Amino acid sequence: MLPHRSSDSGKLPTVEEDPRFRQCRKEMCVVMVYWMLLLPVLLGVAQYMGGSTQARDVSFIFVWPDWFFWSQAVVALFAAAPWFIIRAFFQNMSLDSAHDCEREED
Amino acid sequence: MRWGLIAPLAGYIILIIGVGIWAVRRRAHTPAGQKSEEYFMGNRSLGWIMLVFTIVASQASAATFIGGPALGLEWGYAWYLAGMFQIPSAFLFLGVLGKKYAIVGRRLRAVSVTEVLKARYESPIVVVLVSLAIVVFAGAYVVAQMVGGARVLEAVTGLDYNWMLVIFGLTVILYTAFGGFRAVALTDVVQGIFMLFGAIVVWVGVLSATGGPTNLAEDVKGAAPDLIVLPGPGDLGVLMLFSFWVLLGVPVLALPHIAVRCMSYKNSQSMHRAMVAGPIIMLIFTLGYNLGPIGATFYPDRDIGDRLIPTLMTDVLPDALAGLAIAAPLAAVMSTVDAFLLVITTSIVRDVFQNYARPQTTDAASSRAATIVTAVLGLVFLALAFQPPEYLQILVLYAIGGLESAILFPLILGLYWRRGNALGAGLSAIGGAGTFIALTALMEGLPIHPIVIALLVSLTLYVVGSAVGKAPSTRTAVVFWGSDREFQRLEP
Repeated sequence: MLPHRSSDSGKLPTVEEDPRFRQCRKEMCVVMVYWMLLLPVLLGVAQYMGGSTQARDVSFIFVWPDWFFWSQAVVALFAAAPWFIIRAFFQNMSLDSAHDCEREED
Repeated sequence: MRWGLIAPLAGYIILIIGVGIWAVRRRAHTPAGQKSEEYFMGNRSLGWIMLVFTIVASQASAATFIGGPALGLEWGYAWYLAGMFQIPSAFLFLGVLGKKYAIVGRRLRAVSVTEVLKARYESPIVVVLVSLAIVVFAGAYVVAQMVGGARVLEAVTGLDYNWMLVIFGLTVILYTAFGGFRAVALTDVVQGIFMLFGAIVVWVGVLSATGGPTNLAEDVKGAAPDLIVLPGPGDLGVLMLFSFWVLLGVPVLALPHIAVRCMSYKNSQSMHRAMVAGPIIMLIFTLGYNLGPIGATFYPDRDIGDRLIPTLMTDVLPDALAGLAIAAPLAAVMSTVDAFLLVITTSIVRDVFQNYARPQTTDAASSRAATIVTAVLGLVFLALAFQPPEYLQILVLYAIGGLESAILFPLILGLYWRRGNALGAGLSAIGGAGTFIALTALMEGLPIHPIVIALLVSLTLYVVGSAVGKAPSTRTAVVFWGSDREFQRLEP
C-alpha cells in the first residue's frame, strides 16, 4: 500500500497523462450516453403504445399487452447494442502497462 | 414433504459443494505473495464467462427472482417496465468504471473499492466511514437474504425453516470461507446457469398448462385487467419510473460487491465480451420471471406473495424439473450472500485491520485471517437468521440506497475528475447516505424515490467540498492519471 503523503498546495498537480486514460474517458462517456438514452426511449415507447389505453382496448402480442411487448423489443435492442458499441468505440489495451491502443478485433 | 422436489434441490447443493471443493484445492496451490489477492480477487484472472456470471449472479438476488416478480402480482406490467432498467447493468458497470478502474486497481494492488478510495483521498475518515457502512448495511442484507431464501423454500418443500437455513447457509459459508473469490465466482457460473434454466423452463410449463399463448393472453385479460395497463395499481408514473432508472442503473456499480468484480478481469477482451453477454443474460432473467399477471390467472386471490414463483414452478412442472427450477431463486440468494460476505471480510481484514492495526501482516497471514473472519461472520449471520432482530429490517431498508449514495460519487468522480478531494468525498458520503436514511425514515409517499434526492445531495456536496478543500496530492495524481513512466518513479 502507498504510504500517506501530505497534500501539495491548492493547485492541481501537473502530471503526464497515461494515453490509455483518455480512451477510458471516451468509453465511459459513450456508456453514459447509452444509459441516458434508455430512459426516454423505453418510456416513450411504453407511453406512446399504452399510456392512456383502457384494459378492454389492450391487445396482446404473444402473451403480453402490446405496449409491454414493444417495450421489451426496445430493451432487447438495447441489450444487443453493446456488441456494436464496443466494436465502434472501444479499444483493447494492456491493463498492466501502456501499449498502443488497438481497435477491438472480434 | 415433497421428496420429488427435494431430491433435485439436494443435487444442486451437492454440485455447488463440489465446485467449492475444487476452488479450495486450487487456492491451496497459490504461490506465496499472491495468496490474499487470490482470496479477495481471484488474482484478477477472470475470463469473460466467470466475469459476466459473477456480476449478474451477484446482482440478482431474492428481489430479482422472488420479491420482484411477486410485486408484479400487485402492480402489474408497469412494475416490470421499471425492472427492465436493470437489463444493461453489466454493460453499464464495466463501461462506466472502465478499464481505468482495473488499471488503477493493479497499480495499487487493491482488492476492494475502499482501498481505491483510500489511495484516491488519502483520508482515514473516508475509509472508516465506507468500511463501517459496508459492515453494517451489507451484514443486515446478508441476514435478510438468508431469511428470505429459507422461508420460500420452507413453503415450497415442506422442510423445516431451520434445516433449510442450516443446509444452504452452511454451504455458502464453507465455500466462501475456504475458497474465497474464485469459489464465489465459479459457483456464480453454476448458479447463473440454474437461473437461466429456471427462467426458460417455467415458461414451458406455464404455456403447457394453459394451452398456449392465445389462451393465456385471454386468461390474463380476463383475470387481471388492472395489471395490464399503465400506470397500473402501483401508480408508477413517469417520476417513479425515472427513479427506478436511477436506482437500477449506473449507481448500482457503487455497491462494493459489484465494484470489486469490475476490476477482477484478466484483460480488456474479457471485459468487452462480458459487456456484450451481460445484457443478454439479464434480458432472459428479467423476461423469464415477469409472471405476476400470469400468476393472477393461477391464483385469483392474489395472496400468494413471495411464494409466487416457486409455487408456480411446482404447479406447472413435474417435480424433478420444478426442483431444478426452484434452485434458481435459491441460487440467486446464495450468489448474493457469498458476494456480500466476502466484501464484509475484505472490509474488516484488509481495509481496517491490515491498514491501521497491523500493516506488517504478511500475505499468508492475511489470507488465513480472511478465511477465519469469513467463517465466523457467516456463522454469526446464520445465527441471526434463526431469529432475526426487528432492527435488521430497518437496516435492510437503508442498505442498498445508503451504500449507493455514500460511495457512487466519491468513486466515479474520484476516477474521472482530478479536482475531487477528501473533503468532497467525506461530505458526499455522509450527506448522501444521511439524506437517503432520513427521507426513507421520515417521508413516506414521496412521488420520487429517495435515492434520486440523496444522489443529488451527494453530488452537490462532492462538488462544493472539492472546490473549497485542498487539491489532491501529486502522488494521487500520478497513480490515478499519470503515465507508467511517472508511476514507476514514485517511491514505494
